[in-house]
This record gives sequence, structure tokens and C-alpha cells, in this order.
Amino acid sequence: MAKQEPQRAAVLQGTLDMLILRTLLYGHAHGHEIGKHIQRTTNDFLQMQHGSLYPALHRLERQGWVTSRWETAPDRNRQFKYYRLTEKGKKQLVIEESRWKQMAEAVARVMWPAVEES
Amino acid sequence: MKWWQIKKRDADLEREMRSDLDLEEEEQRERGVPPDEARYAARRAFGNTTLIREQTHEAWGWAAFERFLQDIRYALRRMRKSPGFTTVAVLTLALAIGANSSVFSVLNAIVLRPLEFRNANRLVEITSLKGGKPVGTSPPDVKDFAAESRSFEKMAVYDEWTKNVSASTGGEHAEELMVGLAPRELFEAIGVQPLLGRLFTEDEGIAGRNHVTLIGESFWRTRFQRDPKVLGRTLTVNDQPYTIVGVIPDAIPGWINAGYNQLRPVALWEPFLPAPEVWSEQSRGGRGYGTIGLLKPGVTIAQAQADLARIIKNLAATYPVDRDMGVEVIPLENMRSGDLKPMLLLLMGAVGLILLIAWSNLGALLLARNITRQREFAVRKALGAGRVALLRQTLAEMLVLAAMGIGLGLAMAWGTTRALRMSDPGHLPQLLALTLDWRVVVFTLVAGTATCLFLGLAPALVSTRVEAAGVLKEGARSSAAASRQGFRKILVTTQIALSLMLLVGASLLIQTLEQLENQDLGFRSDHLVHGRLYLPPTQYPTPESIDEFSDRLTERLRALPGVRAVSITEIYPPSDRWREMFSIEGRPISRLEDIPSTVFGVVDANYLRTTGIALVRGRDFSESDRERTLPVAIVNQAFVKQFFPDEDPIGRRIEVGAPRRLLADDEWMGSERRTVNIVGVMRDNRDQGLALPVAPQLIGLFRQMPPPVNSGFKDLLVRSDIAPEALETSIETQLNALDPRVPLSEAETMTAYLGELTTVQRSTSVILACFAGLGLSLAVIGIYGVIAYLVAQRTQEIGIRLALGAPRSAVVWLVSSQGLRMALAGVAVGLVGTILAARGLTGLLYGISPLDLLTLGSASVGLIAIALMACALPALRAAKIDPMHALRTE
Repeated sequence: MAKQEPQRAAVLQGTLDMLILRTLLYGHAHGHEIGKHIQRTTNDFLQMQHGSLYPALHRLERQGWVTSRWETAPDRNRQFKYYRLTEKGKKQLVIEESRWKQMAEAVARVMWPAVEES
Repeated sequence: MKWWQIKKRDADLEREMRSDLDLEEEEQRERGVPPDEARYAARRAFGNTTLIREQTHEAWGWAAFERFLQDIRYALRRMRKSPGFTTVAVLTLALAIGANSSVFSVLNAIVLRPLEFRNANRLVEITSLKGGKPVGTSPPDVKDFAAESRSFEKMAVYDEWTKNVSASTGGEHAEELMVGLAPRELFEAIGVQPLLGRLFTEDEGIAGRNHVTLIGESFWRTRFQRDPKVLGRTLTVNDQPYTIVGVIPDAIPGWINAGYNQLRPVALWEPFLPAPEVWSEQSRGGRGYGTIGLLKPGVTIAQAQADLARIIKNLAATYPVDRDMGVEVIPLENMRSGDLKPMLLLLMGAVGLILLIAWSNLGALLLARNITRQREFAVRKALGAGRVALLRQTLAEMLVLAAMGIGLGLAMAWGTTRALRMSDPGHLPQLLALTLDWRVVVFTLVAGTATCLFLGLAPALVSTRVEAAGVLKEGARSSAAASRQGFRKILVTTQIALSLMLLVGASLLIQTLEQLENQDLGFRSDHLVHGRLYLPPTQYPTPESIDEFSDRLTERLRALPGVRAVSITEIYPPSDRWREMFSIEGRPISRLEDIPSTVFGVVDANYLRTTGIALVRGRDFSESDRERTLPVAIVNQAFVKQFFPDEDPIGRRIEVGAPRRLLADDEWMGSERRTVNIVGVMRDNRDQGLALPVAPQLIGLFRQMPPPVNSGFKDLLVRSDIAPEALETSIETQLNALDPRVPLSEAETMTAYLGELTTVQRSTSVILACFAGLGLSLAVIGIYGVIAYLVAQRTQEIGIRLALGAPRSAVVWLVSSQGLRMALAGVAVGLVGTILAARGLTGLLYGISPLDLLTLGSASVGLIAIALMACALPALRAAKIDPMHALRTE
């Protein structure tokens, strides 16, 4: 079993959850679509393997923030597992978003104090 | 999600990942990537599938459990791969656990389990003591105890009789059953509520109003099919009508009246002896009744004991018969274990030794296994397995082992207790309550699991601390391995010591049994049938009618083919509990305490001929000794030795019964006395049971004795030329033809009866012998294992010795001397243990000392010989080592 640095994983995990939830705000999507969307939106800045989405998706589902269902894709004639945001998930997204904002601001205050003063 | 859905979830995840990969591949192809490359590109974009799957499983929250299942599967696979180890380990554990829980169950049922009465811890049995021996109580004493004591809430005197009971009013189909006689207070003290009807009232204890009965639940079920309208119906008990007034649960077990050794449970109850004379002053010396007391809350046994001792002392000042009498208060639960307790404790001790042997064996086995697995552990560690992972796997293996051993052990215990309960509840009614108690199961689970975890993990902790590089370089010949071998030797030595103790114990008990069974009983026990008769006084009211019945029955039975002699008697060897005071003419006695007593009994003229007791001097009883002729008696050699050491006893006159001047009311003779003439001396025969020395005995003829002694309770003895079992039916037929209302009960051969007397000793010896065998085989396996291992370790060294010219016999000696050393040490320790345990054994043995030199010696020598035999195989294998081969392989 390969090991990840726990600290980094935690940060990434938290962020990934938020990104997934935000992506699903547009409507239901399957894993591949979510991965592709995040990648495209960040202009391939977040280079990630789609595989790493699955543990996160299943964890979100266990928390009850998303639900899943096998559905036929409109453009391809076969089934994919589609994820949908729940009401609980929407609330969670708000929480995570504000937490992220606070964090980013805090980091920014430390990193660029001069900018803040001027 | 639940854990049993994991498989389904996993398939779902697989499909999801597959669909993603396929889509990625398609998109890559659509972008113009060649198909082969598209697949790899998709994989690259997706990531490590195995890892993702594992992480997703973690997200489900059942990962730890899945790992555990995996460990169990791995453990099972490993165990399948070494069936020898698994079988031995599981069987060792199962045998130890099975034997322990069985013996513990019996101990629990008979000694430990609290009584199932409401006031169990306040209930006591009260008995008077004569010369330190319990003799039961007398109703007048109990009346005074109850009136003057300050420690008791309730006290009830009771009795039990075998009576002819018939469910019909006419008395047909009578059956001999145990009938209890008890006042209302007995049921109240024990806390028995009637299922139907009511308990006895106060005035039902008065003669004339006493014809009421409480029937037990099982009697209600078997005779009346639990008919709720049974109240008011009439039973016939010894030809008297009794009206059913209530049904009580069978809550009063048969052992409650163990003082009489009448262990059959009581079928129905009548009010306690309404006969007024039982309560009269003359009956104060008539002891032999049971008494149950309910202590006031907070009163201790010692306080109650002191209280009653004070009362009996005061009584002795007024009543001479109470002089020198003691009194004892016994917790009721002690009555349940009776004389079985020492044997049970012995067995529990033995089974504890077995457990120790099994533990040490299992420990040695696991130790050896972990040593051989060191290499495997090292390899796995080198491949990246953490110490925790290795421990977890060992743990799983131990748990699987424990589960199998415990399961099998419990199954064995369940089977044993069931078999015991079914086997012979008649003689040991305590066993009716024998079940595999939940406490036993919990004890077993905890003990078994703890054993496995301790024995498995301790060596595992050591062996998982391996330095991968070190072990892989050196092989298994590290110095640590050698020191662990030292630990194994200690374990084996312990096993031999414990086996020796078991062997000596079993051997002593078997010799005891042999002594009991093969001793000269003084009579011929083969070809002899015994049965009991009861002639109800309504039909046989006078001594003459009893004599006449006896003569006619004797005549009929003697005519049966194969019958050689018939005797109707009130006693029979080897145990007569009847003792009688007497005085010898010409030897006046002035004090009550000086009255001699003897084992006494009344018989008919054919008694000696039928039992095969030899006449030593004088003459036998004869048919011409009739009611009106001179009363005659025969004494045994012990009687002559004690009372006529230098005189000729023949012709001496003896008054049976206490001298009237000193004690007007004799226990058995009442106010009657009879003077008999000694006409003969018979050979000593067992009269106090198998294990006690022959006491002085005097026998007379019942037809020459007054009514209280010539009673309706008779025993029948028939000596035959043919197999005695065949006679039982024809005897019954003849009895029926003579009087159908007199049933024959407890008919059995003397051989079978003697067998019953030694049941406890026999079963204990058998069990102990099995334990000794078990311990011995475990020890042999242990020795063999250690020696074989040593030989394997020293192959190279032995090869060098042989190559340098050592004779093969020297090699054999080199190897066996190791075993011999362990055996000698074990025997030495075992002998010390035996000597320490000897005191506990003394009371259980007969005719042999617990430190019998021959037994100790032969057990020691035998054990050493067996140990050497266990060494022989590896020793011979060592001697056959080919030096060249041995030197090359390493």
C-alpha cells in the first residue's frame, strides 16, 4: 500500500470535496465528467487523475451530500453512474466555501501584508 | 451500508471505474490517438486502479473489518497447509477445555451452584451428634429447640418413608414410592407454594385428621395427566385412604434427606407423623428424623450452632438421653454435595493438572512453530510488512485456533454432561440438575481465548522482533532459539511431573477400588438376589401374621427351580445401619453412658445358609427355633473378641435393649425387652459398609422378637444355582400369587448392589485413569517434540562426531540422555508434588497408603521408561545419520 503524506492528503481531500460539490451545483454528472470539468475549468492547472475522485465521491455519498444512480448518458448509448447534489450537500458546500474563503484570506494576510496596508 | 453488501458495492465500483476508463479511451481515440496507445493513455489519466479501489473501500468505513476477514482467511489457509499442527493444537485445546468444563459442570451442579430456594442462604439442616457423628433429631428435642432458640424463624421436623401408593381407592396397582412426612412449616421454610389447592393446616398433624396428601408435580403429571380437578380425589397409601388437598412443584430434591441415603425424590407428602407417641417424652431418644431450619436474617451458622448447643446442654440436665449429645447446624447446600465433594475436588484438581499440561504443550507447540516461521516473518518484513501486520496475522491465527478448540471442547462437554445426566440419576439425583451452565460456557470462552492469545502472542512478539538481515543470514540457529529450547525443556519437565501426579493418583484409586471389591466380605455375594418387601400393618397387624406370610413365601420360593436357599430378614450384608443397646447377664451397668451397643438385626433360620456366612462355633438357627421356644442369638467373631475375650460365649444370656432401669424407652424395642441365648458364633462379615472394619454384631430371629422389631419391613434374599437375574421375574410372580398387594421393590443381584456401593470410586478411578492417560500422551508428545527438534538442530554436530569415529551407541546415548534428564527432573518434581498432595488423598483411599512406595516407585519407573521410548525414535534416527550427507547439506 503506497502512502501519502497525511497533511497534504487532508488539505487536498478537503479541497477536492468542495470542488466536486461545486461542480455538481450545475447538475448531475458522472465521475469522468466531474474530473474533466475540474481539469478544464482550472485550465489543466490541477493535474489530477480521475481515479482519485472515486474515494472522494464515495465518501461524499456516505455523508449523504450526494446521491448516485446508474443512468444512460444522452450522447453515448450506455449507462454511467451519475451523482447528484442533495439539499444537505448544498448546505455543506456553503460551509466549505466560507471556510475556504477564510483560509485564503488568512493566508493572503500573512503572505502580502503590504498590499493589505496600502 | 452494511458489511455484507461489500461484495455488491465492490462490483458496482468496478463497473463505475470501467465505464470511466472506457469513456476516456473512446475520447482519446476520437482525438486520433491510435487504439493501443489510447488504452495506456486512459490508464495513465485514471491512475492506479488497485489503490483507488482500496481507498474507496476505506471510504466505506469497513476497511478494518475487511482486513480482519482477510487475516482470518489467511489463517485458515495456513492451518490447512499444516494439518498436523492444527489437529494436535485444536485437539489439545478441545480435550483440555472439554474435560475442564465437564468436571466443572458437575462440580457446579453438586457443590457450587446456589440452591434454587428463595431463602437458600438461610436454610440449614439440624442434626444431633452422638460421639461426633450425625444421628438425626428426635421430635421432642426439636420442639424444645424451636421453643427456646433465638436464631430460627422456622424449624420443621420431617421424615421420609417408602410406602405402597396406588392412585385408585381400591389399592390396586400399588407402587412403592417415596412418601415425605412434613408439617406445613417445612414448605414455608423452603418457600414452596402449591400449584393447586393448599398446604397442610395445623390440625392436620393430629391423628385422625391426617388423611390428606400433597402430591408432587411429576406424580400429578404421570398419574393424573395434570388434571386440574384432581383436588378431592383419594389415593391409597399403605391401604389407607388419603385425600389430595394440593399439588406442589417438585422443588424439594431427593438429596434433602441424604442422612438416610434414600436419594429417591419424594413423590407425595403427608402431614408429619400424627402418632402422639412421637412427641411424647419417651421418644426423646428416638433420633433419626430430619430437621430443616430457617435462620432469622443476619444470624450466622456459628451463632445458631452456639444457640442450639446451649439448649441441648440445658436439656441434658433434665433428660438423661440428651447427655453427651451434640448438635450441628449444617448449611443446606452442604447436604447436596454429601460425600461426593472430596471426589469432585480431587477430579477438579486432576483436570486442572490436565489443563496445565495442555497449556504447556500448546505453548511448546506454538513456540516451535514460531521459531520455524522466523524465516517467513523475516522475508515478509523484508518485503515491507509492518510489525503490526505480522502480529495481527498471528492474532487472527490464534483466534481461529481458539474458536475451533473452544467449539469442539464445548461440544465434548455438552455431550458428556448430557450422557451423565441420562446415565444414572436414580443414584445421584443431584445430577438431574446437571446442565452446561452459561457460567461454564463463559469460563470456557475466556479461559480458551486467553490461553491462545497469551501462548500465541508471547512467542509472536519475540519472533516478530526479528532483524530480517540477521535471520536470513544465519538460518534458524540463533542463540535465541537455543534459549527458547530451554523454555521448552522446562515445559516438558513440568508435564512429566504433572503426569506422574495423575498417574499415582489414578493408580492409588484403582487399587482402592480393587481392595474394596476383592476383599473378603465374609459372605458369598455371587448367585444372590436381594429385594425389599413391605407388609402393610392393616393386612398384617400381628407378628404371627408376618411370620406366617414369611413361612409361606419361603416355601413357595424354595420350590422354584434353581433356588437353593431363601431367607426373609430385616438386615443383609455388607451394611446394616441398625444398632441396638444391650446388657450381658451378670454384668450390671450403673450408668447410661456405659451401656454397650452392637450392630443388630433380626433374620430367619435360613439367613446364614442363604448369605453363605460360615458358622465358627456352636450351632446355626434351626427351623425348630419357633415363637415359643427359647430365644436364641448368634454373634460374630468381633463381638466375641470385644465382649468375651477369654470366655466361651455359647450359652451366655443377653438382654436386647437398654436396661430398663436406666432407659425405659428403647429406640427400637420401646418398652419391650427380650433376653436371648447365644448359641453360635458366625464368621466376621462386613456390617458397616465396604470400607469400615467389622463391628461386633448380634443377630436374632424376628419370630422370637416383640412387635416393634418384627415389623412389616422385610428383606428377601434368594441364593440360586442358576444365573440370579433370571429369577427376579419368577420371584415376583410367586409373591403376586401369594398377595398382590405386596410389591417387590429394588430387586437386584448382590453383585449389582455391591457395584453400586463403589460407583463413585469406580467412576472416579475411570475418569482419573483417562486423565492420567491423556496427561501421559501429552507429555510423550512433548518429549518427542523436543528431542526430535534437538536432533534436527544438531545434525551437523552429530555428523562430525560420527565422522570422527564416535560409535553409534554413543550417539543414541547422547540424544536419549537429554530425554532422560528431563524425565528424571520431572519425576523428582512430581514426587515432591505427590507428597504434598498426599494428605488430601488419604480420606479417599482404602487399604492403601497415599505414599505407597510400590505405587510411587512403579509409576516413576514406568514414566521414565515411557519417556525413554519417546526418545528412542529420534535417537535411532540420529544414529543413522550419514556423516557425509549431514556435513554437505548445511
